[in-house]
Amino acid sequence: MSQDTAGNYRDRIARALQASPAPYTEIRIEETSGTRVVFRGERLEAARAVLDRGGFVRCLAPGGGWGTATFNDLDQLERKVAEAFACARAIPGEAVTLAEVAPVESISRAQLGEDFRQVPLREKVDLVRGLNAIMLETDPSVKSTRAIYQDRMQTVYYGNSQGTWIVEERPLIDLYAIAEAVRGDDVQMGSEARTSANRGFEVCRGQEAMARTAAQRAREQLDAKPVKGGCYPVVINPSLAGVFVHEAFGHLSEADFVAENADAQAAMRMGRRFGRPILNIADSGVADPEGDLPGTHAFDDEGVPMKRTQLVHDGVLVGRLHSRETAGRLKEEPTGNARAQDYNHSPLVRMRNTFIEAGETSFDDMISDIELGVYALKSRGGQTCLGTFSFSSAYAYMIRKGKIAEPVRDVVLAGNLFETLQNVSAVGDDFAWDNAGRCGKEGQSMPVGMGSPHVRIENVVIGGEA
Amino acid sequence: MSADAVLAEFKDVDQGEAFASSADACEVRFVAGQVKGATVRETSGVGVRAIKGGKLGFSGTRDTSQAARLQLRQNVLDSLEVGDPSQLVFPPPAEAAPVPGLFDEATGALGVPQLGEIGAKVFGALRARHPDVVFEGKVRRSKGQHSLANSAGAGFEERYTGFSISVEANRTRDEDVLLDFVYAGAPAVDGVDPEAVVERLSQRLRWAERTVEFRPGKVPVVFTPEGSLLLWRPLLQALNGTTVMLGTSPLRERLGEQVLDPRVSLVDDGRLPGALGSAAYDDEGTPRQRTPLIEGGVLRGFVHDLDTAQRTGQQPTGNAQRGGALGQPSPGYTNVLVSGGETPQAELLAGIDYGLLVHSVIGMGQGNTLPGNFSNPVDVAFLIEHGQVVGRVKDVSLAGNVYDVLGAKHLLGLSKEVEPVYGTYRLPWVFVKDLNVVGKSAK
Repeated sequence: MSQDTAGNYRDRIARALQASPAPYTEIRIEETSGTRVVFRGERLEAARAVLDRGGFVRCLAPGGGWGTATFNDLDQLERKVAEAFACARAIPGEAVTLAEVAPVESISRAQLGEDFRQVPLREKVDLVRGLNAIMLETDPSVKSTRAIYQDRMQTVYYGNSQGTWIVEERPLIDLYAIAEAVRGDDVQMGSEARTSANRGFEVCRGQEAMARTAAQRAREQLDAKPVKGGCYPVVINPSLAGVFVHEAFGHLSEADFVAENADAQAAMRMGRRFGRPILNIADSGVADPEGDLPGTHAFDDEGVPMKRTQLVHDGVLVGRLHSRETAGRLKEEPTGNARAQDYNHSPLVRMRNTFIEAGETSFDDMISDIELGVYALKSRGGQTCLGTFSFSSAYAYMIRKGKIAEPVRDVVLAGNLFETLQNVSAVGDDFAWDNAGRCGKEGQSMPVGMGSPHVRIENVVIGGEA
Repeated sequence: MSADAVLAEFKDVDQGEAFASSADACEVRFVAGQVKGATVRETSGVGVRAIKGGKLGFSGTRDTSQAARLQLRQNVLDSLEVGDPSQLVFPPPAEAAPVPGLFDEATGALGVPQLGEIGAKVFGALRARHPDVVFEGKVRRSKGQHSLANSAGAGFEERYTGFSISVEANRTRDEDVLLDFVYAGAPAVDGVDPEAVVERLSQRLRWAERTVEFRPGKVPVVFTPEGSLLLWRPLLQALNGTTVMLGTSPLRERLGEQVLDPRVSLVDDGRLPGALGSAAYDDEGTPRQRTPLIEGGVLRGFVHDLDTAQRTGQQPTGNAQRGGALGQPSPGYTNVLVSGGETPQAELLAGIDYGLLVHSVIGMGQGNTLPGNFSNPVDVAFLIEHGQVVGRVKDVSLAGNVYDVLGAKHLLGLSKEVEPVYGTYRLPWVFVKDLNVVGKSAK
């Protein structure tokens, strides 16, 4: 492939940084190779390898905002530094102050079990074909399937004018099994997904259960009745609770939301009570026992080491997530949460792996006094508009007289963040991580992890036919 | 990289096709009403499809190095090697007249200072009108070209420009957060009226000045053109050749049948002059066209690329789209036009005694939307009382099925006015009766 080496990039970036007239300049070059295999129904829809390489330059001019240039042709690096500086100078804005961080030098290479770059495309196709066949064979009502494998090895070369030099390999593998069961005009879906960072092809072996589960769920949903809309006590499983904490709370703790908005700062003031003392929430790029959660890296895209950040302690807001810019503005410590999808994008404040810490309530105790409620499992998408959030569960059951009862579908939970967190009335003792997948923000999709035990929430509005 | 030059490296296959794209863009970003930064972008990439021995292979690269070009060839051949049998035939040359108004020299030449000036006016006006609201957004222009060449001799090269203004408004009053968004885009800077952008957002911010209680139940609901995407999007999913080919579209076997209220007509128009979704050719070299999808409520067609057309026994409609050079083509929409009705919007609104006006919902498209079901909390929505918008409504959810809602039983009417939405839609206001609105008081 490319003849360029880390040493070569280091020299080029160092020269370009030296030539920059800006007081602060950072340069990121990324090389990415990836493969993707997609089966739809019985047909192999895609089996491909693609290459990507590009650069990102960002400058601060005296008394001004960010000037940025992104590009594919790396031979233009020095010209792009000049263009980024010209951008910064063209529009004088409010000065940006970056929080201080110590310069670092680090080269971290991925430690893969079975290097997916060495696995022939045919072997990947065969693996996905196998998962796809399981879905089609599991139930005759399954008419449509998607089985997807994708991997990528992204190598990031990052240097800034404060002396930081980082090379980081960020391998990522996604595996999806999606089954659609059809009966008349009704189509129901079952979907299983697993995103693994920092792992090799071995994580894809022995995943046949994913395919079987997806097919069975799709089939079961055909028989589930639509949930009756209303207001219920709801118990959500660890996977859905992870999405809940990410959507409902996590996005508000991203400091770019509050940094330039005094009213939002007041709403998200430190020390404010968000929940009962049983509620503890954190975000971490490091506290990951297996090291394969999608948000786990060594550094963010401003060269700041990732760490664990406590967000809520005993129900009280104690922290938030920062870039160097938001930390500088709010005079708080940077947390290593400035992440960019790729060289086409500026880093934004993003979560890594966000989780509700384990509590003390057993699942049985959690549901035993619920006369009529909903047990919702797994997410099928979620969105937050800061104050208000919504997420869909992939499947669900009614809870009747303290027992799990009949399956229901089309369960969409909605609420106001501030009320809903106060309404978290029990936190389970059964914490589990979820290698969830992706989060979108301002057009950038980032791998994120989530985790939680079972959680009970009172008075949740569930949409549906009344 | 030109498509011709890349295709020349694939002479030893039965059929070949190269697609190249390059673009440069320039944008100025505003945060809290102030200039925050400026960005220039240059991108280029190429994607290649090849067929040999009845099997199809694909690869793409945005790495411009010589080494990557060599690897591209190997990747295409590797992909072909493992590919499934394909009946795909790359099309021969076809004449298509250029669509007027897609490239504007002056727009392509806009630089950071000019974009900054336009933005300063927009954000300045918004701040002056709404000092308690925090505005963020950007002013952007782009200029680019696509080219395609295939072994049947077809090929094209098209240039385009684009200009857009997008603004997000955030008003936080302790626990009460309002987030709203406006976007206007066109191929040329003259196609966007900055004052209209300000006015549209400003009107909703005034409507949202106070929050009011809403009495849930089965009520009339009005969707703004933006809000009506909640209804059109599941329909567009079902009208896409991909879901027809897969057998999951609920409309797959209903061509010629009455599927919606007779007042509903919807076309995909790939040749609409001066529209962001237009071009002379699609991303496989098929001429773009105007495709009626729903006429008087009757299902007339689907949108297809070469592959879905061939596999469903229908004609390609010029709707092949790629997500850039690294993506393979699939059917997508160009410009979606929904016909307006007879009555002006104001007159329809005046006829509503107690109802909900919906501009946006949360989580559009999540859950199982293909059968047409939706269930979403409202995001930006208002109470209509005696024909007047009286305040913002929060914490209620909408639920229903788009085939019912756009059917004869529920549809009250479509406004005469048809408005541009997100650059590629032209949509009327939609008036619906007896839609289920759930709130906290509903047990």
